[in-house]
Amino acid sequence: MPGKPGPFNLTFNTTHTVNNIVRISIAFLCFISLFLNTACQKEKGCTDPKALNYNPSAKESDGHCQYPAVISPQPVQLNFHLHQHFGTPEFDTATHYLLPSGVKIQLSQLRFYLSNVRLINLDGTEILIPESWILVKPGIETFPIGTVTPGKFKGVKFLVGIDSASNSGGTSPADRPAGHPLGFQSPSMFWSWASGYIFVRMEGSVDTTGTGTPNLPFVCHVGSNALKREVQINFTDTLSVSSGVESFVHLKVQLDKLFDNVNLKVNRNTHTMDNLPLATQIVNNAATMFSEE
Amino acid sequence: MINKFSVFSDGLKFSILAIGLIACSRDAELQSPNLSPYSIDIPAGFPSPDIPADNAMTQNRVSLGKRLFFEKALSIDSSISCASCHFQIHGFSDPKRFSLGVGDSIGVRNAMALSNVAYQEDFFWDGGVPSLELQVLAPIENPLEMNFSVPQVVERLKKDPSYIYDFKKAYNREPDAYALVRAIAAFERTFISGNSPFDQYTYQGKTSALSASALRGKDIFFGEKAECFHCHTGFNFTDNRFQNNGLYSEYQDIGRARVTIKSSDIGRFKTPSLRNIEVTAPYMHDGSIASLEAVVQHYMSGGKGHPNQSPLIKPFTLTLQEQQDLIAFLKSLTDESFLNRQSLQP
Repeated sequence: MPGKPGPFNLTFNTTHTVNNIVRISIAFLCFISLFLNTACQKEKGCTDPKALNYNPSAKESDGHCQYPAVISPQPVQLNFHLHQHFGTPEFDTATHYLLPSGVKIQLSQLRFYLSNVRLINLDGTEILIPESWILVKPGIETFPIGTVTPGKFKGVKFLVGIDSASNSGGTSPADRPAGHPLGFQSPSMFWSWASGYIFVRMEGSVDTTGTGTPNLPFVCHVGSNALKREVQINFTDTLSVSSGVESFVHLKVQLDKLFDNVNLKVNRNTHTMDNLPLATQIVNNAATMFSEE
Repeated sequence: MINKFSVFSDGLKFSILAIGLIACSRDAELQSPNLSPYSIDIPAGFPSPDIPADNAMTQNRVSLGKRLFFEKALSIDSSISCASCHFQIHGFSDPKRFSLGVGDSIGVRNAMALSNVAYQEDFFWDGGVPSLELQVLAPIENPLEMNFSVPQVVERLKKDPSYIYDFKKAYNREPDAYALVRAIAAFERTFISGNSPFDQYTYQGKTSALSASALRGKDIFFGEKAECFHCHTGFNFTDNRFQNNGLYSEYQDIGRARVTIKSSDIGRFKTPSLRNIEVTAPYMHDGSIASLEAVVQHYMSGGKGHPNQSPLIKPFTLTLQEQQDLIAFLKSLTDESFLNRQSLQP
C-alpha cells in the first residue's frame, strides 16, 4: 500500500538538488532576516482586554480599541397590586361586616396613604423610590409607585402615612397639580386648619343596639407626623425587576385588622388630636394589615 | 364735504390704530405677566416682612388678591367673602363674638384681626397653619365658614373670562389653587398698620401725639406691675407665641394642644397683636370679653388658675384712673389711616 508522502518526506537527488538546497537556504535566511526585522518593531494594536478588538499580541496601543455600546438599564414602572380584603371577601363599601367582637359595621369611606417606598437590595441596602406617594382607595388594585432601576430585591419598606417633609414642610394640595396623590381629593385628605394630611380616613356606621343594622355614624381621621408607621415586607421569592417590563409588588391588605382592639360601640370618633388613643390604635393596626400575596 | 369726509376718515383710521395698539398691548401683557413690583410702605420702626420667594409682591397679584378677598364665589352658595368676617374698620376682625358662615352657621372662635398679618409666623388662634398662603384654604373648606372646596372655587373662577385675564396677568397661569392662595396672601400682606398716635409719638417725633393719660398708661403697660409688655412685645405688640392667660380653669377649646397633641399646650392660644385693639372687640379666642375695661379686670384678677397658666398672670391692683390710663394707651394703637385706607377697599 503506497504511503502518502508526508510533508517532510522529501527526496533529494543529483546536483540539481544541491542547487535547490542553496536556493531554499538563501530564501530561508531572507525570510528569517525579514521576521527579525519586524519583531524588533513592537506590534501595535488594541491592548485593552475589555475591548471587542483586543489584540493579545499587541504590545503597544494603537489608540483604536472598539467597545460594545453601553446600554444602561432604563428605569421601569413599579406598582403596588393590592387586594383589599375584609375578612375573607374583598372589601366594598356596601357590605355590612361583622367584626370579631360581634359588632356589625358598614364602611362608607376607607382611604389611606402609603409613602416613602423603598426596595431592599439583596445586600440589605435600600433604594428609595422618589416621590412615592400612594392614595389607596376601595375598588382599585393597581397603584403606581414610581420608577425603579432594574435589579433584584428581597423586600419592600414603606410608610403608612406621609413622610414628614411632605406632610408638614409648608406645601399643601394647592401646590400640586390636579390628580396628584397629594393634591386636592374628594373626600378631602388634608386638614386645612392644621396643615397636614389625613393618613387614614374611615367613616361609616356601627350597630350599637345589637339589632344587626348599623345605626350610629363613626368618623376616624388619623394623621400627624408622630402617627406615621413603617411597614416591611420580606419577599418569599426575590423580586426581579427587568428592563422594559412593568413590575408589581403584590400585597394583601387585611382591612378588618384596622378594628383590632377598637370598641366602636363606645369609641366611635377621632380627628386624631381630640381622641389620640383611638387614632394611635388605628395606625398601629394599619401597620399590621399588609402581607405578601 | 371732502374735507369733512377726510377728517372723519382720519379719525376712523386713528381709532382703528388705537384699538389695534390696545389689543396688541393686551396680548403682550398676557404673554408675559406684568411683574411690576408692589412696594410695601414700611412704617418707621417696622422691619421688612419676609416675602416667600415664590410669591413676590407685584401690583397685579395684589389687585387679584383684593378682588378675591371680596369675592363671594369663594363660598358654596356665593353668600360670603373673606370681607364678610374681616371688616377693615374693625382692623379686619369681626365685631360678632362668633362669625356667621354660610347658612348662618356659627363659628367656634372669634375671627382674628389681620393688622400686620405679613409679620405673622403661624396662623389661627392655635397656630395650626405655617403660612399665609396655606391659611387661605381653611375658611374656604371649613363647613362652618364657606363650606366649599378649593377645586370647585377654581372651576367657578375659570368660567369668568375677566378672572382668566387677571390670573394670567398676575401669575401667568389659568385660575388655579396655586395662584388663588398666593394672590389673597399677597393682598393681605399689604395690611400694614404703623401710623397710630403711638407710632407718631415713638417713631415720628410727634411729642403731642399721646395724651397725658396715654403716656401714664404707657408706663403701666411697660411696667412690672401689669407686665403687659412681656407677651405683647415688639413693634407689633406680640411675642408670636402661645400663652395660657388663665381665662378658664377648664378649657372646652384646648387651643394649641389641638395641633401639638401636648397636654402642656392645653389652653394656650396665640398672643394677638394689640394693634387697633380699640376696634377689634370682642376679645380673647372665644370673644368672651366684650370690652377693654373687662379685659383689664381679667388680668387684674390673676386668672382662673389653670395648670398651664402663664406665671406672669397673677393678681395686681390698679386704681380706676390707672385703668383708664392703661386703656388710653391701648387706644393710642388705633391707626385711623389704616382703618380707612382706600387701597384696601374694593
